[in-house]
Amino acid sequence: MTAATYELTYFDAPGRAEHIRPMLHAAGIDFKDNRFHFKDWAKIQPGTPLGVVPTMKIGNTTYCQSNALARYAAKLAGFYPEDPLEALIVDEVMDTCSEIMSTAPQDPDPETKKNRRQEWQAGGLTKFSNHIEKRIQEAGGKSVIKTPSVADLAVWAVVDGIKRGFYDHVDAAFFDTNYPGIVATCGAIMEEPKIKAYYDSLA
Amino acid sequence: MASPSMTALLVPKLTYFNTGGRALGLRIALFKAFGKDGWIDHRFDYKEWPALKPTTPLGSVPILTLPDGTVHTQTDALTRWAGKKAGLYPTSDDQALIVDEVVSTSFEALNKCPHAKDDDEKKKVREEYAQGFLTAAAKLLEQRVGIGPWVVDDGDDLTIADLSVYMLTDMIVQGQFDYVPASFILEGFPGLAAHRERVKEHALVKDYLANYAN
Repeated sequence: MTAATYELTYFDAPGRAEHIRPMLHAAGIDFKDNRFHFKDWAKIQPGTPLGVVPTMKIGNTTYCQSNALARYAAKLAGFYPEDPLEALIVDEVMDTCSEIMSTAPQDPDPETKKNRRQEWQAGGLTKFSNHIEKRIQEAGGKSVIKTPSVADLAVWAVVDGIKRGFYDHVDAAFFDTNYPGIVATCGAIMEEPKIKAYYDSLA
Repeated sequence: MASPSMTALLVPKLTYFNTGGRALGLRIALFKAFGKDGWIDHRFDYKEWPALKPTTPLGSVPILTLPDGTVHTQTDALTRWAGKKAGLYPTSDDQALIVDEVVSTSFEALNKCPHAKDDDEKKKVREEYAQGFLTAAAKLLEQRVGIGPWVVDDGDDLTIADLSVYMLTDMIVQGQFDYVPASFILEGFPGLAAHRERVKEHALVKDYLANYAN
């Protein structure tokens, strides 16, 4: 696949694309970061294969599935392990981060949404976060596996979403006290030179 | 005296319901990788689930327990691990991207299948889902299968991508999706229908089904 062009399409937000963007940059790929405003989603959605984003157009083909895209970019960037067991842990944590994003309850009724979100914070969010924290502690406390990987970025994106208040009624400080490994991982991956270089390039 | 649960595992153990479902591709890959005696296919009946559930990391199955004692979750991740062990996952990054996209889309089609307690409501939401996400997913999968025989072009053999598509299309054709008829695949997606036949006739799949119930 000697593709000349890479175009990533996603909302103008970290969300499900933030573990892809720095990986493409670290891989030396000059990609078009096609960010759109939420108000344009209704126009863009029909053109996507599965009605969701991110999508990435490589040459003439448009691909879906955020973790497939992140894994691909991470391999090219050197942030995805060769060892199948380490890769399993990276994949497991990426899928768990996706599951956090997918299971955050929605409801048209504001009161119901609030109640469901608060239940979710104590239930699913806690369950998934405990599991991620356990994996990080097993690896030494500041990354998902012993070396920095794309899974650390996936964790960062989830934490970022909650901290910036993207999930109404979920405590923005949720991770601050009980998840030292998750907090340390978020800090460490942003200091990783190749990741830092991506964010510096945006300035 | 050590209880059975404290005995060290010598081989990987997969724990899942006594049905094919989302574990089909994973089990076939484990069978190819380790042979019938090289892994434990721990299957349990639904009535055992309430007792088993709290012992799992995320309250879900399948889970994979390895000889080192670690327990792993997430069907998509487990299927990729088993695929690598079985030689059913490409070494080319470009081909792996397509395989990953197809595997994840197949599982997403399962995950997004709506449930409802009331039959009328279930019929309504299932029909919406069939016209909506399931159609979009099937279109993408049919495009990725192309003329075949397998998802990976110029591949000699099938991969976990083909097994994942088969998992989905076979479940639909066998009538396991209430209110989504077999014709959804058989008439709606002839490319997927033909792919399903090819996977069913593959020596590995026939060998697996000769050794396991589903």
